Order: sequence, then structure tokens, then C-alpha cells
Amino acid sequence: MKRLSLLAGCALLASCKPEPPDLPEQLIPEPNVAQVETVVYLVGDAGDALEPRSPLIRRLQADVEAWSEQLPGDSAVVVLFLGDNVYPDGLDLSSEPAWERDSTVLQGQVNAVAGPWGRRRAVAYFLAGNHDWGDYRGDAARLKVQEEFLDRRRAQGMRVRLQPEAGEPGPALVDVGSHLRIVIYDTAWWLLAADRNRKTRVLTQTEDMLQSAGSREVIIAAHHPFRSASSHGGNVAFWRGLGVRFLLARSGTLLQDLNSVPYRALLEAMKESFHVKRPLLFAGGHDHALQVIRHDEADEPRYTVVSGSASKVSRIGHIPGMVYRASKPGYMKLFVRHDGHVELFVVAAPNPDFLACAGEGEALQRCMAEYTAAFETRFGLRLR
Amino acid sequence: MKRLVLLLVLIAATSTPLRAQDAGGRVLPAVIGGVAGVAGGGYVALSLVVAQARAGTYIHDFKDMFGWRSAPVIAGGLLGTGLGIYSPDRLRRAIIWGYGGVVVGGAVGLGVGLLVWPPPEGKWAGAAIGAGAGLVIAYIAGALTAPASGDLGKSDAVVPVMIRLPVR
Repeated sequence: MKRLSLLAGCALLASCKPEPPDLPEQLIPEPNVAQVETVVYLVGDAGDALEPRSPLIRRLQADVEAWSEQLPGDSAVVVLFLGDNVYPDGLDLSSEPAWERDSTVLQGQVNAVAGPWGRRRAVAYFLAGNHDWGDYRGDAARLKVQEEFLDRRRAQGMRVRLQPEAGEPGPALVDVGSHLRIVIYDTAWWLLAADRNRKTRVLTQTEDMLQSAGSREVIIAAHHPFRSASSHGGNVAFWRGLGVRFLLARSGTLLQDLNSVPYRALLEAMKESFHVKRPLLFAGGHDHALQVIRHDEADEPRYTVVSGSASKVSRIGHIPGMVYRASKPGYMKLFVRHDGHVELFVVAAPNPDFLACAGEGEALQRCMAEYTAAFETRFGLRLR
Repeated sequence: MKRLVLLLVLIAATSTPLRAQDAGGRVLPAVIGGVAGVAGGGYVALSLVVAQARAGTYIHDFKDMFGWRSAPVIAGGLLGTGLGIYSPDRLRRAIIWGYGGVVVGGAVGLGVGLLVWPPPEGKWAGAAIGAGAGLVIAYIAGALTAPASGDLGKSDAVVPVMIRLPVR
């Protein structure tokens, strides 16, 4: 018994980690409509959010619709779904039993731009995440199904598309307004593919896009983030999975972790490209948290954001440069002002309980109304 | 340091009860052998996965460890249980040597990893692979070199039999 107590004590001791330092609160006021040229939403890892039960999806829909109504001009509102749009294995074929659930999840995201104003002024780009591929051998069949689904919705008037196209690595270029360029990748392709020539071509195209951006600020958008303080970034407790997960993370054995050899090669290659022009922001999901990280090195983007808690939430640690972190459901939005200033805001719920509503009928409706209203802007920072 | 303490406690917890083998027959060694075998097999599975990754075949998620990749866990459990029944002496030596193999193999692997692969993951990968290899080699060597006196079926093996007679 004594030995057992000692063993348990040791286990507890080894698992204790110091709490990450508190970060100073930062919240600038949101700009008024007259000052805003475009709004870009960053929503990641929504693949478990069922629209009728997801307060976040409902809040996002209302937010997008409100800004679409207020901002004049075509494509003034852009929504980037940062991958892992359908868990666990991408969108299944319509003949399969999983189709009903999978398609409901994806339709909820499509509906973010399906309101009366959203249809006219908002556009949504869906990026592929590793789960959207649904196949670890590099077969893009599931991704093709998702692309066809989005194509059908586009034919019905909703401006949605998979970007880059299914099975293509990108980069895809989207210029927004007069101040912003978004360069989009399927980073899951990079991790799965062994085609060196194609990878070289991706980097050449990236440099061209950065070079030709001129005075536009560049946002890199991909499922896999540039930096993260959550589990894919190596923040794994020693005792999780009896130490196995810890060792897998430390040794770079998990392909989807930032320190695996292919992922590291991807980031190094990107950094090479950034010498041409330093991007303002690298936006990713993948880890289920909200993170804003400032970088000082010239070959890194000025900021990294991780916005991957649209339907899942996981623990988060601290890394140098971090200015905001939250393990809460939420999303981010960028305001690009007419004068070229760019501001980042984080919209989040008070805690992880707000991910989904249970119950049926009136109880469900009450919960949805209450939880949706609980999402607030909790962080705001001028990036430029 | 904390992990070192933990390791020592684990060694003590799993090896000391073997002294009670005579009292408990071979059931206790079999159970201990099974548990230690499962743990060791788990570690060997981890080492194999790390080695595979270094060769370019990655797993995507922790969950991918389950399935055929966890075969060493079952093999280790069966081997440990079998060894516990066949020869508690061999099991004891295999476990103790196995722990030593983890430490020595891990240290050697760490050094090799530092030399062969880029930091900081290289040393961890080397240590994980080395520890797994060290465990297997030392476990087998320990089991083979232990005295055969306690082996099942050997004439000098003592299996205690107790008969209770009521005395008024």
C-alpha cells in the first residue's frame, strides 16, 4: 500500500507543470462601418459542429450576415474555413450512412454565407485539412466529394468553393479589396506528397505571389499553423497516454505535429519564400484553440494565428511571442480599413461548455439563444 | 530527476514481489510477467513506430498506435506470462536486465540520435529506438542466462504443496 501511494505521488509530481503566465488583456474598439473596407473571418476545425446544436455556427452566420449587409461591394466579406471541415474522415459519399451527418456539418458552414446579404456580398473559401482528405495515402477522393458538394451549393447561389482545388497543393491567390492578398494552401497535400518537383513549383509560385503583392499585405492561409502552443506544437503532458504520446511528440514521429520531418521541411521552405516579402499573418487551425503569436524574425510572418476551436477545444500552453491564448470555442476576424490598417479580433465563448447544446425542442432553442449570445469579442489588436 | 525517481520506484514495484514466489506458487510471477510484458511490449511498439517514422513512414495520430502496431503489446504480455509460469527466476532476471537495457540502450540511442539526426527531435528518436532495442536484447539475454533450477519440469524445482489437517 505504501509503495502504491509512493508510486501515485511520483506520478502526480511528474505530471505537475507550471501554469502558463498570464497575458495582458488587449481589446481595441471595433472599427465602425465607414472605416472598414473588408472583413475576413478565420474559422477552423468546424468538422464536428452540427448547425442546429452549434452556437458558434449560429453566431458566425449572424455576424457574417450583419457585416455583409453593412459593407457595400462585392466580396467585402470573406470567410476562410481553415480545414478539417468534416470530421473524422471528410465528406463521405451520398450513398454511405455517414453522408447525412457529414453533409449537415458542411451545410452549416456553407450557411454562413447563405443569408440574403451574405449571398450577394460574402464569399467562403474552404481549405482542406488532414481530416478532409480522409485517406493517408494521398487519395483525394473524399476531398473531391467535398468539392462537388460545394460546387452544387455554388450553383444554387451560395458563393463557396474548395480552395485550392481537390488534391491540388496551391498556392491559390485571392485579392481582397485594395489592401489585402490571401495566399491559400492545402498543407495536408504537402505532408502526404513525395513529389519534390511539385513542391519546388509550389514554392516558386509562392515567391511570385509574394513578389507581385506590391503594397498589399499578405495573409498565408492553411490548415496547418506556422507555430502552436497546443498538442500539435508539442505541448503534451508527460502522462498523457502513459508517456507514449509525449515520446511520440518529442521524437517528431507524428506527421501532423509541427516537429515531424515533413512538417518542419514545409515550414523551412515557407520561411525561405518569406524573404521575398514578409507576410503579415499566417492563419491556421489544426490545434483546437485560439492563439495569437507575434514573431520577431525577418523570415517569419509578423503574426501567427491558430483559430481551430470551432467544434473542438484542447489544452494550450505558452510559447515566446504569444499575445493571446484561449481554450474556448471561437473564431477570429480581420478588419481591413480603407486606410490600409489591419485589425484582428477574437470572438469566443466564456468556456468549452459552449461548444454545443444538448436537449430537444424548446430546451434546445433556449440553450442555443443563450449560448449564442455568450460569444463576445475578447481580444483585439492592430496588426498593422 | 523526477522521472529517474519514478523509474526506480517502478523497478522496485515490479521486481520485489517475485521474492514471494514460493508462497504464491507461479500465479503471482505469471501476473507480474504479464503486466511487465505488456508494458515492455508497449514500449517496443513505440520504438518501432519511431524507427518507422525515421525511415519516412509516419503515423498521423496517437490513435494510429492501436491496431497491428500494438502487436508487441500482446506478444510481450504472452511472453511475460509464459515466462512467469515457466521460470520465475528467468522472469526476474529478464525484467531487471530489461530495465537496464532500457537505460543503456536509451543512452546509446540518444548519442547516436544526436550524431545522425537533426536536433532536437533526433536525440529523442534515437533514445526511444535505442531504449526499445536495449529492452528486447537485455530481456532475452536475462531470460536465457538465468539459472535453470526453477524451470518448470526441472527435478530440483520446488512446488510447495500444503495440506491442512484438523487437529482437535
